[in-house]
Amino acid sequence: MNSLRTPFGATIALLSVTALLYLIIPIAVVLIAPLGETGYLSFPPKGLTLKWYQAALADSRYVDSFLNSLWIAGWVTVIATLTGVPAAYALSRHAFPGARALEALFLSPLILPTLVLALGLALWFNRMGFVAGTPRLIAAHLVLCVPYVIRVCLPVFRRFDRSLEEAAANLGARPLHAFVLVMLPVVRPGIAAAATMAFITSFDELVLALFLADPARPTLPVTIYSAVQLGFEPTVAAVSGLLVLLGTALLLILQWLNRNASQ
Amino acid sequence: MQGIGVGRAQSRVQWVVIALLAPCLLAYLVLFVIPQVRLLGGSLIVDGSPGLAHYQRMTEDGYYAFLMGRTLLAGLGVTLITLLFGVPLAYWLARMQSRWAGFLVMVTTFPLLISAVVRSFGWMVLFFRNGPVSQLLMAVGLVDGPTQLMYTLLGVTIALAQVLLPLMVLTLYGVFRSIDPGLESAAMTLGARPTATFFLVTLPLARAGIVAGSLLVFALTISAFATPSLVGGARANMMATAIYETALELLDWPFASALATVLLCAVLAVSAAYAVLVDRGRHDRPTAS
Amino acid sequence: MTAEAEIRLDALCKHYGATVAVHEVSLSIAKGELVALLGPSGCGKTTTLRMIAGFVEPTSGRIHVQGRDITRLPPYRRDTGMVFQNYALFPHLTVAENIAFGLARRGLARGLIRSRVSEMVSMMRLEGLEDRLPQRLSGGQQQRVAVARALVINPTVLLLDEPFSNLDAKLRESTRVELRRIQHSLGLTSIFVTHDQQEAMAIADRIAVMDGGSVVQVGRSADIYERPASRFVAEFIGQASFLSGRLSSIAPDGDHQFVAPGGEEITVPASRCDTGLGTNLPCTLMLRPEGLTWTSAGTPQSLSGTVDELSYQGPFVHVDIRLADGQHLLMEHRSAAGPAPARGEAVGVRIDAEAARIFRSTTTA
Repeated sequence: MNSLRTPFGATIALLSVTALLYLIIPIAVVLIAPLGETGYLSFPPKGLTLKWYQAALADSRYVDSFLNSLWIAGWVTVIATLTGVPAAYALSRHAFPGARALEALFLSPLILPTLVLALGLALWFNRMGFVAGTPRLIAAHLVLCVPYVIRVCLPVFRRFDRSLEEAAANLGARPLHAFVLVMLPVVRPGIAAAATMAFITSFDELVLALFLADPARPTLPVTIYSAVQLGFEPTVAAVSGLLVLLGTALLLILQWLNRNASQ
Repeated sequence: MQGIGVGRAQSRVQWVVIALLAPCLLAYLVLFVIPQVRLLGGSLIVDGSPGLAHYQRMTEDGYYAFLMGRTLLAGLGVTLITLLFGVPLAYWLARMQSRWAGFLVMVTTFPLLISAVVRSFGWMVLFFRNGPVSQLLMAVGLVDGPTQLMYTLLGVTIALAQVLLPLMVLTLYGVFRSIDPGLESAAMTLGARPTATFFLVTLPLARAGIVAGSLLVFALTISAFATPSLVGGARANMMATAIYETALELLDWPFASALATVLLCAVLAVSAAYAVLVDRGRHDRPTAS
Repeated sequence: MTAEAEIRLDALCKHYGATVAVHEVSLSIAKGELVALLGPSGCGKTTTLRMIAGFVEPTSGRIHVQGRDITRLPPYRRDTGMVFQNYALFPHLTVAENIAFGLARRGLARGLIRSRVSEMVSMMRLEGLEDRLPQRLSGGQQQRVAVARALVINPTVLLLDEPFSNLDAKLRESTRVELRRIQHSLGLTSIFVTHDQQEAMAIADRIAVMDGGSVVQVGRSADIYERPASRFVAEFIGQASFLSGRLSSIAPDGDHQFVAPGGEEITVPASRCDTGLGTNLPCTLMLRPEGLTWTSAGTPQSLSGTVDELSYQGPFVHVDIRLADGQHLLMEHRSAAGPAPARGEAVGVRIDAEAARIFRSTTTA
């Protein structure tokens, strides 16, 4: 049906290519605009220079908040995985009354506006005396990331072939051994995907950070956001461009890892 | 469901299940359930005593109705644009035989790795007065002078649609892949041209997925903050940006809570609609092999 | 009867709520025997096997292996080796590692594991595949690995769940012969589940035919084939034609007289008839196709009709004969005896009473 020879196929291809351009051009802009000489951003850029990128890498505001984001995302990933994976496992294997409701509860933060979550947490933390700082942002990000972990891991566990566990038991493996020797290796890619999702979600997150982060130690999205409010300068664009490069690198790494795993 | 334990081991299984769920449950209680319930409660308290004054203010002041209307309109606009581009792209990718298919899917989902702040930034560069979009429109003759899509609802809609398009494509890609191409071939042997086949066979079978994708995009649009804030600014306020303003700039937390509750209800209504449609679809959908 | 049965199933029952999956299944299996649990899907054979393996808890009844009651033991403490229908090979382990798994669980020394594994690899003709992952093996190879993995632990009982169903027809035949050979040489008590009656008859020492959760007949292949206990068993095992007619009389020496709707009379000795049949009442005559021979119409012990369809099978031709009253008869014509009658030809078929049985009439056609 994709044949270009038919009007239908040609239309689909045209719309698709347009869609791809629509998707990619704004991202390319972020990457390319900061290469311009001028002190204001224009696209296409006038002149070619790396000075804005260099300035971005040297600017301690951005470097510090980048490291802060990494630190927070790292903690969030570890805690979310340790909390979410067992929960997903328990939900997928054992039917007990209320399991469905529990599953809905665990997945519900995904459908709620992050702003609403942020507001609620900000009020609650203030009330509890949980002072502004990195730990409370980590806690807040958990509400966003644990649901992702559970959502990714549930189908992975549900898809797992029970007969493999039965075979292990039949061959003499006690339940814990069967889990470690047979189930974990097989579901490991799914868990890795879940952890990756959690990391990316936390790293890129803006709203919760705006409400809850320590003002003295903002995350990178917050730093960029605030900088943009103040002025439209190339350094900020360069930082964004660097993030695009980072995202590309991450994607390539993931692809390479996946290729190794499936082959 | 048969556990591998026998007899007394069943109760040990129960304890294991509880242990596995406990940390998660505790986290949700403390970080989600309680704060959200308190938020709802907070919106119902006016100057220390229960009251609906905040909600009344919302209905009386035409601004908030206008705001909600504008937010819903943006939701509609974004949904339509993502459908317009998402359906063809997802279908094209799903039916693509060449080796490029995997690469292009990757390209499509790649934007999701990048923060909405960064992606919106790109649009800011494009939309500014005398920027490339303005020049393009002038060149094409659609406008007379330099125009600016920044700080307009249209600009926000276009930007948000690009931000959310990958999600629509991802949803639809899975749906189109699950539709047996043999059905389309069968239709064509019966005399239906590709366009007719697509509208008579493929789309109806994809209906549930299209609804799911649309509701997802709609819900995310009306909740969106980063893109409307950066691209729309104060002039093209939407619900989320208004709530932010009310809470962090005007420091009127109770009213912000009320606004947030209304937004929450809107999103829940959308989810409920989805749940109903999915259920109904489950009963009368023909099996797409 | 001196030897204690190696495996004894004692009134095993399994209920899922109101549904009865297995009802009072009792069976004794001797050491070294290969027993087949045979029946259509849903008859409870797999559930029974899984109860023996320990994956399903019986609602009531007991399982004894070598005199020990293992009913309450978890699967990893029973000494059963199981070959799963989908093989259940661990996808992240190589062939050698898969085979070694059970031995490692038992804490054997590394050197010993290695030698046992390589022994098994050559016995199952898996040389050269030791370092491959299961996804890279053909169906037949995967099956051999699954069998190797179960055999290498020297189980007391070998359990097989439809072990050949995923293989293509040619492979199925050669594999089951090979399995039989190995089982025999090892003297390994085995139980296998199948819905393929040819398979069961070919390799099992004894067959337990199951239907609706119960065992309806147990015996050697020949016994079940020649003396099916019920119409169900007769229909399930081998091929047969069933004719409705009337039992006109029972002679003093027990010979039952069956009258076909076309008027022909067939005599069947009492040993091959259901007991307690009433005269002048409807009954069913079962005929095995190989017990029929061509004859001219009108001879005693014969039926007449016209040839409806022919189905060439190689060494013989299946001839479908339509009798006067519309019922059909399946006859096996040996190709070596010459050309089969043509379609539409009028024929007579002589009945060998030893290949016939009279059953009580059932409402199902």
